Amino acid sequence: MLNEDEALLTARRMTKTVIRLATTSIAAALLISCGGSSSSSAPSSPVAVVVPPPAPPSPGQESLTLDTPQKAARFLSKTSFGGSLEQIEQTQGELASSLLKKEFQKSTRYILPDLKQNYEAGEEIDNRAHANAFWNAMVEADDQLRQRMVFALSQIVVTSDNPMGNKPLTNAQYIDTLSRHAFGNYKDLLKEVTYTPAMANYLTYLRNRKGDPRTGRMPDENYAREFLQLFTTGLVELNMDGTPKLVDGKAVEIFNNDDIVGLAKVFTGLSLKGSAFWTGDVDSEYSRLQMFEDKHSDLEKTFLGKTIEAGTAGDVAIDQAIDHIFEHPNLAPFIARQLIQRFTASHPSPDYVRRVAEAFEIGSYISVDETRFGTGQRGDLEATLAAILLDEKLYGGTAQTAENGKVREPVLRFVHWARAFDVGNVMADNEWWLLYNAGSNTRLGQQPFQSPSVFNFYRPGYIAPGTATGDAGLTAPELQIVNEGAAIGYANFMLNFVFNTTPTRNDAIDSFIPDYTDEIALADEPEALTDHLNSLLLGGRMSSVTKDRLVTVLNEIPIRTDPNDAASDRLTRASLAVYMAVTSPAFALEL
Amino acid sequence: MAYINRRRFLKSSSAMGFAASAGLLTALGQSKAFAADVSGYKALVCVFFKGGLDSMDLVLPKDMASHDALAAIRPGLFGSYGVGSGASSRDRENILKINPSNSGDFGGREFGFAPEMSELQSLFEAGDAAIIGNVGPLIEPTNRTTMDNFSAQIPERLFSHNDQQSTWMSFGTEGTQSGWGGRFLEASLKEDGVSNPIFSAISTSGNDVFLSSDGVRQFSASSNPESADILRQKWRLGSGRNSDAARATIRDHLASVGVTSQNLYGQDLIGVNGRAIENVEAYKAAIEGGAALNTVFPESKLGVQLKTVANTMAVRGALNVRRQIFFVSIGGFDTHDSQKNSMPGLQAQISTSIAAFQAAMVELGLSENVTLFTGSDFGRTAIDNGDGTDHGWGAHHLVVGGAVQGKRVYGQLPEYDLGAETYTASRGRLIPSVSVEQYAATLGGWFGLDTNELNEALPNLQNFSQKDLGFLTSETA
Repeated sequence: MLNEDEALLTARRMTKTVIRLATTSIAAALLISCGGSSSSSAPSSPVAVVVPPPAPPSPGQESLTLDTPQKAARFLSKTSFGGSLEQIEQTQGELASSLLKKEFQKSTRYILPDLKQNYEAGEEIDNRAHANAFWNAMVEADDQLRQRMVFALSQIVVTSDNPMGNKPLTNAQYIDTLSRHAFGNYKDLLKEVTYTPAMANYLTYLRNRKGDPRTGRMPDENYAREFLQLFTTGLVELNMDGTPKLVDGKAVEIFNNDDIVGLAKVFTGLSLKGSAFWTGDVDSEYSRLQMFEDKHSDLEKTFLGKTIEAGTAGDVAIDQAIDHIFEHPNLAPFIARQLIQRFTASHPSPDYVRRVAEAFEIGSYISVDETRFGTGQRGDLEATLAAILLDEKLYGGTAQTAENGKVREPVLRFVHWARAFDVGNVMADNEWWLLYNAGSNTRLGQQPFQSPSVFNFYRPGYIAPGTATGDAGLTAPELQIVNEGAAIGYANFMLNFVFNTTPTRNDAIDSFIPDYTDEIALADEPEALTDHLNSLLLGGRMSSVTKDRLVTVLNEIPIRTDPNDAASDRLTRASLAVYMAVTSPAFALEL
Repeated sequence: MAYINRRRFLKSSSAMGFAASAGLLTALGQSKAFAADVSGYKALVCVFFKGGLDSMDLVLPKDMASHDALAAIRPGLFGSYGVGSGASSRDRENILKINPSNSGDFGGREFGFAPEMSELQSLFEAGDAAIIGNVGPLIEPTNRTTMDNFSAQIPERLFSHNDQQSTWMSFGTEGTQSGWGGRFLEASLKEDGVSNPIFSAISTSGNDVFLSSDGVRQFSASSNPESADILRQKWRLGSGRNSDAARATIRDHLASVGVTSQNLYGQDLIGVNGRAIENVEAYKAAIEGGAALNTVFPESKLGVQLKTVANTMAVRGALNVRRQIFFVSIGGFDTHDSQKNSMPGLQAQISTSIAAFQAAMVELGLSENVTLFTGSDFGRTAIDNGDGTDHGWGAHHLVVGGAVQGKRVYGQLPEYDLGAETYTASRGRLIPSVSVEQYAATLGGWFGLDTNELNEALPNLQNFSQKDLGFLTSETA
């Protein structure tokens, strides 16, 4: 049974937690009582201060209070790439809405500035420098929610560095563009993305020229089509809850080829920054694209019921086009559903989609404890994220149904391991397997910014044939990259990271070194070690069968008497236990 | 195994003395018409080109007039290829001519392949390959007039990559759960109490819908099958390295044996883990028991996959299968720009890999038993966008194998007259002359499905008068 057992913390941890929780509650109670009673009690009263009985928290606060280690762990695995036991402890007792506010206010960690500085100083920049920086940011950056959002956006507004393998600065500039707008407005994001060299390279509108009536040449349609289909509206009209609108039982398609031909004319004339269309300045590969009016179509451009007048300047035409497309009522449910899928649910319920889409639509969200998020502008991503991550059903104690949950994509699983064990020497550029795909039997199966196409690693509408979720008609995007070979690839990839035996680029440097101090300390007590990992990695959801197997295996590893041998045996036990936990089905499932 | 073996039932009935029954004799005599033929060994291999194949850059015009006509509508693309220099792979004189036996059908037009496809040209000339012109998803026969006045029903979400991949494979847009490869196997497995369904549908490339259907699930075959490393790396267990009990427990853990979940996603993850360990171990054992092929495959993405397919066929006895369908795919065909930098390499990969595969089939004595065919999201615009092409609809495809009635062009290779009824009004996107279902029905009939089974697997087939394009020797013929 994959049960919902309350996790048993080890005695050592439990004591610490209880003390922390008590302290936090008192502090919170004091804070509330002071604010709440200010009008009735005279602040300058000379009489002895009597602490009033703590006011009961509002029902909203109660449901958003992360009062158990399980809730704390769940919050962390949704709003970050997972946490260490220390972080789980620090999170416990906090209010989810306050923590989220803090995440939104954290300063952004950008990738390009360092690379640019080195590049401009004449240093050679590794082709995978951007990937190195992003892996490292996911593992150790303080602005965890922003990094999660960048990873999520990278799977919606997809570029891949595959065709740009030698352009680390171009890719870094793209990653930074996603970072900059991660909590901003989706419309601003779309406009900025349109002017990135990375996207223009990837969707082939870099130096896309206006049509030529003499030769018959027509503008490249690639960006026009995918901008609509993947980044903004999708293909068919949607209700606010993300389900397709049906007319006579059939979905209604939003655009046809004439719309694409019309919109393709808009995305003409863009090239790298510089004085000439065919050449770029020295810094152009990581600078905003530039419009070349003589290459921009000066014809009338009609699409989705909008006509941009002939002769409109290129930048103005792009601005008008995106403004118009953004007004489409599909935007909110289309983007909301996909963002939910990246954070909390592989198949969000229509009601959940509607709640989040409404936050996107009105640009603000008020959580159950009356905390307000967002600017009030349509497309506000802070409001949208808050609606996803503070949804009433996530923390309200509602019983999980069989259809809840999210299959965690491989990157989430791997980075969770790295963070849970506070890996030392976070140097992704020293790890072959993080920068380049390993062999078919040793692969994570997913690398950030390495999607095989603009359609991402998997499709938001994917339903896995011949499965329980498929029979129930549930979308399961992440299962699209799960199969026999991928499962073995993952098991072997993790084996080598967990045991710290991955091939490194520089043999003299050990990187991604896990810290198993806590686990080694528990190695003599297999049950305790198992319970500890259950809390740390699985939010208390390890099945009893898996628990028994961990204990059985650990007991098969004798701890010898010689102190050096014993240390080695304890490390073996710790590593094996971690390996079994991260290869358990519960680790791949977010509830 | 739950599959009813009708054939075996009939045989045993006759052995029991019921053979004299006229009804049964009739049933036996007509069994072909009522049930899939599962005798001998047969396999289909789908090679899918992801991104949308520019088949106008695959089957090239060889005669002067046609070549000039294509050059006129693709000045940018031809320019980027350097046509006119005499050294370009697209220069008319460098195109490798093919001589289809039905060249008379094309009124003096001549065709060829780019020099990168010399192996394929040889296969064609030797009669082991055929071209199926202008294939694509259709609901019913369609042309520009009936498309534009909405009198013809056309497939949903045309020109969209993911949806047209899905439509090609399953006749439904993204999210459809059963493909025609899977449906074909479903039909044959119903008649086959012997074959192991686990190794009937084999993909070397991801989880596409083509091979899925009720009771059919694809197995993802690795070029180098290997179970979990921890089960063979004894040192990982340190002082417990000699504990077989520990290894057995870890194996059960990785296979999620006995683990259950109330959550549906949990159930699916548990299921995959079980198949990963158990099926891969069985597959690996079978492959390791097979003899190495002498045929040398190129180390390309397609070559490696087709080698895996050939190796799998070589151990069909150990895998216990009589009907198999394989799915193989490579990407890179979405040539919106720099087509000249990608297509020639892709074509060379296609040509060398398929030629090696055909040689391997001959080596295995399976040339008559195996048919390879190609598919893609869609074709591309006749009119270029500078140095690339955009999303289209119909495309020309290839079928290869000993059973193929080769050296012939089936379907149509429309002229480059973009005003004609076979092109959309914008950009010269080919409207298919042959539906994927007609193409599939021809393959399915050869594979052993009867008329009813074909109609069940191919929902729009009934809308087309020609159900068999004739490119395969059919046992019924």
